[in-house]
Amino acid sequence: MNTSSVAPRNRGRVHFIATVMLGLWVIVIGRLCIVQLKQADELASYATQQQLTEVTVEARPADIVDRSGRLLATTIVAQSLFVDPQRLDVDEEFISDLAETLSINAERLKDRLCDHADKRFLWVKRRITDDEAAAIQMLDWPDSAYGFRDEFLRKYPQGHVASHVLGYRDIDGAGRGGVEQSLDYLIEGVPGKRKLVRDAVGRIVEVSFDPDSEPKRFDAVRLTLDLTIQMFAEKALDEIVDEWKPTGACAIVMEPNSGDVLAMASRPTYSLSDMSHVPGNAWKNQAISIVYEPGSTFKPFIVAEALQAGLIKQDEMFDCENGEYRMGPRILHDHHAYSKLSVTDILVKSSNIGMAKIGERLTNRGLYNATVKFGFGRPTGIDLPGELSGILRPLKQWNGYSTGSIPMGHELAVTPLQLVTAQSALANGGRLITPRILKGVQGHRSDSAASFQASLEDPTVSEPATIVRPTVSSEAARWVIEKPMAEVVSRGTGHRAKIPGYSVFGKTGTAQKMDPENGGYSKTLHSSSFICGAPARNPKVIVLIVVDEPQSGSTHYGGTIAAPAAAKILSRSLMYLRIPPDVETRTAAR
Amino acid sequence: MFFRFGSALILVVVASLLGIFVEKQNLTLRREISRQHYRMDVLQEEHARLRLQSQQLAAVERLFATVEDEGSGLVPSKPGSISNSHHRELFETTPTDVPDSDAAHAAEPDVTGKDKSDLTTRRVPLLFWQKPVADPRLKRGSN
Repeated sequence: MNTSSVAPRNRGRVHFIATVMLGLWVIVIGRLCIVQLKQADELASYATQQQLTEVTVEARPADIVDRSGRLLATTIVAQSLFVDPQRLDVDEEFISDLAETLSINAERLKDRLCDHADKRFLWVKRRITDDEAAAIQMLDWPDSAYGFRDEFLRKYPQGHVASHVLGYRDIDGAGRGGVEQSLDYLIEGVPGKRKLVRDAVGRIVEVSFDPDSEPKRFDAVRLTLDLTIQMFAEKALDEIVDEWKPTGACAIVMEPNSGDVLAMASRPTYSLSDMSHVPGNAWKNQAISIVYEPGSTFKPFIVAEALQAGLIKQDEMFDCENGEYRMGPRILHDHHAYSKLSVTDILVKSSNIGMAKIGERLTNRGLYNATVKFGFGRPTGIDLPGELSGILRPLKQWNGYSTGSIPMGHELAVTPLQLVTAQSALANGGRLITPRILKGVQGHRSDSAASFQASLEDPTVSEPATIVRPTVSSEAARWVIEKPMAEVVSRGTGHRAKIPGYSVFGKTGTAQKMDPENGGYSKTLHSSSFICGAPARNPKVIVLIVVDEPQSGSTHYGGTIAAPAAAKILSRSLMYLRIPPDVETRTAAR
Repeated sequence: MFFRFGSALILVVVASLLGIFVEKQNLTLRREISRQHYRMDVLQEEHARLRLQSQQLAAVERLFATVEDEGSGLVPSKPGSISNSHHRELFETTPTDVPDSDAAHAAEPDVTGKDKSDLTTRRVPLLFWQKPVADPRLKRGSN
């Protein structure tokens, strides 16, 4: 600054002002340096805390579809109503209007509001309908006294179809029962995070998306069920329930080579669309969560095992003692008096004496090995919760009675799924496979929580069947299926299961149940069953129907009660799956 | 001197204005991206709802009831020949009026008592599968 032109007496003032201004600048620059260099991190963190909020974003649960991609379960967003009790006056008229709008009990609502009057948050009703949400907003609310929060709502568009297989998701979104529970690790997804940027008054001005932090989920979980075949089974069970009034019934349809469960139905049942009134006994999946004595449906396995062991021959004849046979202290009876029967006819006529004699040749150890070999006494391993292992006593507890009882399907208890799985082993050439309900998943989910890595792009491709163990040779298995079991249907107790154009094999079962009063076998309580499949030369479909304690009518035989319904399911399934007939049919005479 | 001072000042102002403009564009784009993500969420939800509705309308139970009501003909039914009640139910449902499948099931004709006839005389409807008339296997059986 050139002060030479300034008058000497003013130079001091100029210097003073310049010094003051310089000092101010030094203070400002110094303050800037302190803020920028020393306090930068702290202030940046403070700003971030004010501006940025991280919220958790829940993953939408995966859809559940059948093997053809038809929707069984999906998720939509529904609003849940909450209130701030501190800002809400408990006015009788308002409470009454609110309760009426939401179809809930007004007294209970009032009690809850009074009990939680000091809280700032209280759920009133979760996952309300759009109409209810609109009606709520029309009410005369105090300011800031209520709000809505979005939550996922699970919907089942097929109603009560396959309800036991699907299960449901409860109020908190946790899977309960069925595949909703057992496959929850595939369905639920992994929550993500999003950052929200707020302005000075707290409004959200930006949502920051990071692809790595987005929720991770599969698009859909695909089951082996076929909805059409499932409907066949459901309809057949409805007809059985109408006609025979049983305490319970179930139907299973399985593809024997892959173990795919094409249908699994149970009665009594419930609707997933309306869970408000469900009878207590309707929750149980009768296909896997009940056990029963299989009766005569167990006989083919013993015959196959005896053939495999070389203890009997295909064309061998057995003396059936004219309907009465003493085994130690016990006398066995047949329904009819037979003298000599072939191995084939023992199954066709369902002779208990013939089976007891085959059992004597196998001995208890052989019978036990056969039973274990075909998967009885342990769960099948299907991906459904609540599967029972059945009842198979240890070999050391068996005695002389067991030698006669086991071959005719008594003294052990099985689940229907175990029986159809064992029958599939005979049908597929002797391989016991694990039944499966999960076919695959659609979509990708790159997180370590999902151990199921297969991503199914082509719905026709699935993983190969899991073979548990070989049971009997393919020759023995094929003979049992194509000869005695086929003749059960063509001329035996299962003749009501004939299907024109198809070689059907099957076995009826009628087992007395335990009398709860005296512990012995009841004369009035039975379980009636029928297992069948077709075509006999190359089985593609196996159907089992078990009817528990039919009450109506005078008969209780599996061939009368279960066989016609099983044949109907089988016939429709064969046509639906486009399996061509394998037997020439004769047209009616002209 | 004044020229240099003024030029520097103008440069600083212009640079600041440019910076503000770029920053505003950046914020606008980020807001647009946020809006797109929000729209994606809304569309996903809309897709889920519409898919649910279409699946409910085409539920297997309803299709079964329709087919069984029409009987087991070999020829597919002509368009418009569906009975009035089913036509109303299938096509006049409003988007918010999703029928409860249980109620729908209860409203269908009672078919449980119908089909007890011999399997040899009743065929499954064409909806599922039907052998062609000129099937050589049928011709062999007729000799």
